[in-house]
Amino acid sequence: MLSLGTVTPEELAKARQRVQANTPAAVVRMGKLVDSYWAELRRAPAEGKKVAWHVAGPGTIFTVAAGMPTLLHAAYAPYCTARRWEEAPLQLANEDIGFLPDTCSYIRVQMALLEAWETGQIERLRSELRIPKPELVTCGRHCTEHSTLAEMAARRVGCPVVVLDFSSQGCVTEADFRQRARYCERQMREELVPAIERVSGRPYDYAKLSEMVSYLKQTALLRDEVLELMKNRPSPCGMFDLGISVGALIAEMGRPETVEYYREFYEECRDRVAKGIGVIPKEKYRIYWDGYSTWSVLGTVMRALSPRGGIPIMGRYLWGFYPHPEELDPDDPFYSIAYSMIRHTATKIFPQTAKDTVMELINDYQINGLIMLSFLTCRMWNVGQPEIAEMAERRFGIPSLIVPADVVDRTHFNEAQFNMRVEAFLEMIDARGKTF
Amino acid sequence: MSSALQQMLAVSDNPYRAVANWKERTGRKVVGCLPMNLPEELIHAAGVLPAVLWTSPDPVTEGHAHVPTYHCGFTRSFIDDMVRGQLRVLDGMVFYDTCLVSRGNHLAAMLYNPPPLLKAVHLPPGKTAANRDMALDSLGELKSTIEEFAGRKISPEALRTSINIYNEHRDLLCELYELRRKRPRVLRAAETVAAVHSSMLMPKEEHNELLRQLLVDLDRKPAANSHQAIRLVLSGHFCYPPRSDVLDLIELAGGVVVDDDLYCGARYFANRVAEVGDPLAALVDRYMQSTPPDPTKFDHEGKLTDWGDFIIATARRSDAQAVISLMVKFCPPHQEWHPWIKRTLTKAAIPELMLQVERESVNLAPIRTRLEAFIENLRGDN
Repeated sequence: MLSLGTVTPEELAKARQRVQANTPAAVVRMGKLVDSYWAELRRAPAEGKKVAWHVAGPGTIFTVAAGMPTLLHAAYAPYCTARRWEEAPLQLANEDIGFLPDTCSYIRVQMALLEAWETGQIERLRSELRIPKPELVTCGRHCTEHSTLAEMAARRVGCPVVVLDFSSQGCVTEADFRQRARYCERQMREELVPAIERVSGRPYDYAKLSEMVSYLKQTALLRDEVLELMKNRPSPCGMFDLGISVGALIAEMGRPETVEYYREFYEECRDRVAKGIGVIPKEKYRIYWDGYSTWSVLGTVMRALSPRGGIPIMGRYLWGFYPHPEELDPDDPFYSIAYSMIRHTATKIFPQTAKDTVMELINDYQINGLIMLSFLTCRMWNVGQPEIAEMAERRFGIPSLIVPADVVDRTHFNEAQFNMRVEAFLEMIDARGKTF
Repeated sequence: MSSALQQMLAVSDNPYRAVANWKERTGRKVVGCLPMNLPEELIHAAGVLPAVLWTSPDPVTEGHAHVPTYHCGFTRSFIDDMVRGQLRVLDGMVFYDTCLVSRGNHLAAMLYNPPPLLKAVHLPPGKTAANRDMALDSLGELKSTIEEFAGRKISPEALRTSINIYNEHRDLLCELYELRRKRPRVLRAAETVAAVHSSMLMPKEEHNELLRQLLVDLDRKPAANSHQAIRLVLSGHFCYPPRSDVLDLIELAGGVVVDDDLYCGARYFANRVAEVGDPLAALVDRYMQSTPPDPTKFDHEGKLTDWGDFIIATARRSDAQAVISLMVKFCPPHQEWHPWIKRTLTKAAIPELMLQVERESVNLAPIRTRLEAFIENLRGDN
């Protein structure tokens, strides 16, 4: 059972102070939901539950439906980082395991947890980070890093592993998406479900899965409403508020609490729009943000932008990896989840096709400039960014800024340089005088 | 020096010229293949030359505007070449999803001076029944694309003929490697790499002739004294050949390379394709082999231990004393697995040195110092 908990006025003020923005109160509650998700995992062995780990898409839903609390790798590293607890796992990964510092940060942090368990060094990690080892590892692979992590983790502890090939590479047409989704569905039925049944020791609970997909659909519908409200000037919330909330779609997914969370989030945004209240006091620059929600420097970025009237509003990240409600079908969960994932990673993430999506977002969200994060340890976003920047310049006359960073490792980010470049970037937007 | 070896070195040193010359001489088409796992036989069977996409010896210039410096040398070189129009000699290119970084190559090919044929195929990373069927579908689709492009059907007989030629090539390279294991100084490490790399840039029929000639020439070559040298296995270095100056340094420091699992080495010619049955299915079966362990794919049976174990078996088979891992800088698949390989080798008491190497010229002094220290330690000189 997850819990949204309550946020005290002091906690709300502190959270808003950290990012110097009028963060929706609902979003601050997300921290409580996240805490309860990790607490559920930590409690699992004592409650006689088997723990699964899941890597990448489409999230934890399939194992959670089978009664297995499930760690999502794409939630663990952000959890460490957003709470500023990532240093100990990174140190363990680099020094004890021997990973090079430009190795995928999510792999480093996740494998550090297992290294700590396997070598009796778990005390090096904070108690909150001591998530139990997996009895099953599952993976929806979009890249080599995903299957590598799944395989490494499973081999390190000696548990079964199921890797589903979820790549949408080469998919261009609607027929391609459907064919690839059927292929994913087949893998889920032939590989994933039998493995879950073997480990859980009971028949797969299809009814529970359908129920969870139904909650997921409701959650995603409400999220779409929030995304729509963000087209308003001033925007009631920022891109990072949505970034903070993605856990409800991939980690804590398919639970009634996530519907409650997004309902509250949506209603708060709706009220703000009605009253003309923005997420920052004087919204002047609406920024397109390319790349992940950068947990390592989220506060730093906001503090650089917000006092100057800049706010990251939108990015392809929010569209590519998450289920689109209109495609989710509780009666056909495997296929519909796979279809949504394949279609949107193909058309909204990979640079071959994402450039069109980015141009649409710039237009729909009245963007004044682009900040593009070039990642040192996850190089998926990087190639194609200069071309997207050039296209935005040509089509809308707006400038771009490409900044090297990492989603976890703060050592890959230069704050002073970022601040200086942001200042010049915002001046450039002013000089262009381009407004929607 | 053997004239066959001279020709191989010339091709490996200048792929642009080699491929252009072949095209001019034959009037036939050339299709570039993304390195590692594309089944070239399928392209060869259509009378088209499959050339594995290569890196340029020139420094990256205009490409810097399109790809960050923290991407691997292969990607940066390829994108630079595309932007500058250096690969116009190619009539087509085929891509697949080797790794996250390599996806950028397909984009660059689409945007800058694209060749008439651009094809992305999906080769699944795993070995399940569903993965196998998907791989069969993908190769079937690639076959149709190549047929249309070449203007001729690929009959099962033509594909079998290509498979036979490629298998013969694999056998000849196996023979060359066996010879090197027995007479380690018969070829320098850089020459061995060039012998394999050149085969990626010319028709296998022609390369088979060169290999036959080379084997005869080497057989006549007087035995070199190598009893003082430390016998080494080289591991890693995906997608393109390691720099010859680094390979030379290994030998100058007192090592002799007796075996490897390099991409431009034993990895490229490992595993024959079955010559009976459905030839397309046979190509899929080879693709699905997990030896040598391939970190760009996924193996339910356990690559984590297997790659290290594979290197140990390679070292024991060739009576090697130590292993040098050549890691392409910013190569995620290799760097993610390397710590586990290191652990496996340490457990087996096999000394290992990891050298991170770049495509560009770098100061070799630190590499030289590390190599000398490593080999001196192995000799027990200190």
